[in-house]
Amino acid sequence: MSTIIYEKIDNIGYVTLNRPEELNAMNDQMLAELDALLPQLEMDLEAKVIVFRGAGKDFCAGQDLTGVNTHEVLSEPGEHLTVKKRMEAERRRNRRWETIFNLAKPTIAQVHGHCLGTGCYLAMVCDMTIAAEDALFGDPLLRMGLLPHMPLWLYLVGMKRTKEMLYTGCYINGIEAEQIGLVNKAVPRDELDTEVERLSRGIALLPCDATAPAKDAINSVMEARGLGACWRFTNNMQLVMQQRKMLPEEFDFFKVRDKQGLKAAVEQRDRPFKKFCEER
Amino acid sequence: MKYKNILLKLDGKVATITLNRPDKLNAINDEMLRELMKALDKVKRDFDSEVVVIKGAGGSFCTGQDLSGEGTDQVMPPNPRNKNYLYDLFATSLQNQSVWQYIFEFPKITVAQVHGYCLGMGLDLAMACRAAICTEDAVFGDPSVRMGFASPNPLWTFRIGLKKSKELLLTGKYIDGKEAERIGLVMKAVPADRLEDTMAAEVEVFAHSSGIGGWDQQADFWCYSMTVLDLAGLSAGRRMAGNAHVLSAIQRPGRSLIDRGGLDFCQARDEKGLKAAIEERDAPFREYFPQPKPKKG
Repeated sequence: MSTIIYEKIDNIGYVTLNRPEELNAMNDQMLAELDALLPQLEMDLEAKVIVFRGAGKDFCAGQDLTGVNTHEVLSEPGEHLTVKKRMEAERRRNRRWETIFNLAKPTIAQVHGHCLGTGCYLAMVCDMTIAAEDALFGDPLLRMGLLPHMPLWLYLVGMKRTKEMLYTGCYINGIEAEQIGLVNKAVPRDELDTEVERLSRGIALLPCDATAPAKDAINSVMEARGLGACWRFTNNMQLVMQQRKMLPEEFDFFKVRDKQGLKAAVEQRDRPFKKFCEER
Repeated sequence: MKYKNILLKLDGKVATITLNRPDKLNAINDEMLRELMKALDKVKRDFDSEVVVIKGAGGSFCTGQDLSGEGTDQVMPPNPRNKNYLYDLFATSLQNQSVWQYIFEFPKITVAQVHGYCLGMGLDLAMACRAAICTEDAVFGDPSVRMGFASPNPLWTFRIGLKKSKELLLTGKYIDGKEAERIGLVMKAVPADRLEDTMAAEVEVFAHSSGIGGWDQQADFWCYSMTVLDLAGLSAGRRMAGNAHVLSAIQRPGRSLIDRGGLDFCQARDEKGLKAAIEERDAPFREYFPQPKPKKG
């Protein structure tokens, strides 16, 4: 069973995250398949636009937190690895985002349902994002003692909003995401397919010799704005964060998960914040 | 000095530069760009003027760079069929970078008064001004990508953010003044019959505020803002976008395996005329991106 489906219709490549039972959470297999697919996307001249989307009810709920087959997805506390090994792993993670961000063809994220953590990062590194109005965006990594590691947060929604999103871990819906610049457009759920189709088909009319440098011009301005250095800096901060020792009274997500199961751990993680975040 | 393509009026605190090729929708050619620079130079040295209004004569602000191919060596990359020297392309690019930097960093308050079309280089001009005020039915967009060009303007992501910049520049689509205001491309969009009044009122405010704290402090603040922007990557971004523009200009659109037989804008223009070439360029996209039109006034 493959966790990523790639198909091509009329010069548009569709990359569908396909673990619908697990809300398309990213595990090692999915990342391996993604890594194998990315060079293929780049080389495939017939795919002029790439659409990333999720099978089932969600776009992607982020990292698979089960701890099973997630070695490549995230480093868990307590793993005994050399600094070099950890650094290599973090580089691979960030390079994956960078590679998608710099694919020499336009990319569109089609977002519905949950779009959290690294799922949200995937939508962010795509050139454009069209979302359902009731989609949920958020980055609750801090609640688990993990470091949010996507520098594009700052560029897309600004410093104040970024800090609000990351410190609280609260979710926002598609309409709010459009207001703050996280997505291009939010549409009612049943119009999402049509909207993305219109956008992708329109772009597919353009010659790829035109879209590639046009995208590169914008991305190189982002590079000049410091994005390149940011990838590396977040990289190093992730390493530092991994060396952190939990305080005895602190909520230890991974310990709770191992003792009581994933569902209980997520529940305990989010419960204390419920009263601070608006219901969405 | 007599200007052929623009009009310059110095009137107390307010200087007005009118792009004046109304029959060409004020398309910018080399001569107009030179005259614009000369006029700005003159305004800079004029002790009285504190605000510069830039507007267009006739039905439009500016449709962008003149695509006719005549007298456009600086504003347009040369026809890729002519096998250009990279040196010339990069030299022109550097020259243009300093022109746009000069306009963006102009020491007096620049305000674009936009009606009708504001496309391509015309939009670059409006964006380079400190403020832009437009009619609700004005039409904005940069269709460069439809001719195979990357935009050399580094201000896009600073003005409207990364996602929106990509949406506009990777589709070449057009939006109206209301939408431009909503996404932050302009300061204000007003009904067409209110444009002159609104401009007069806003320019009055700008002229007043330009004196607050005295000239030295104003200059200091402006200089400081420019430094912050440069540190935030604007100057390097200008260079990189300029280079990407050159690289996009050395290739002929429609030459990759999949796009063979696509639109070659220069060829279509030379064979069928400019108007037909522009129609051929934009027509296929209307189905996907509805194209707003300015109302006839």
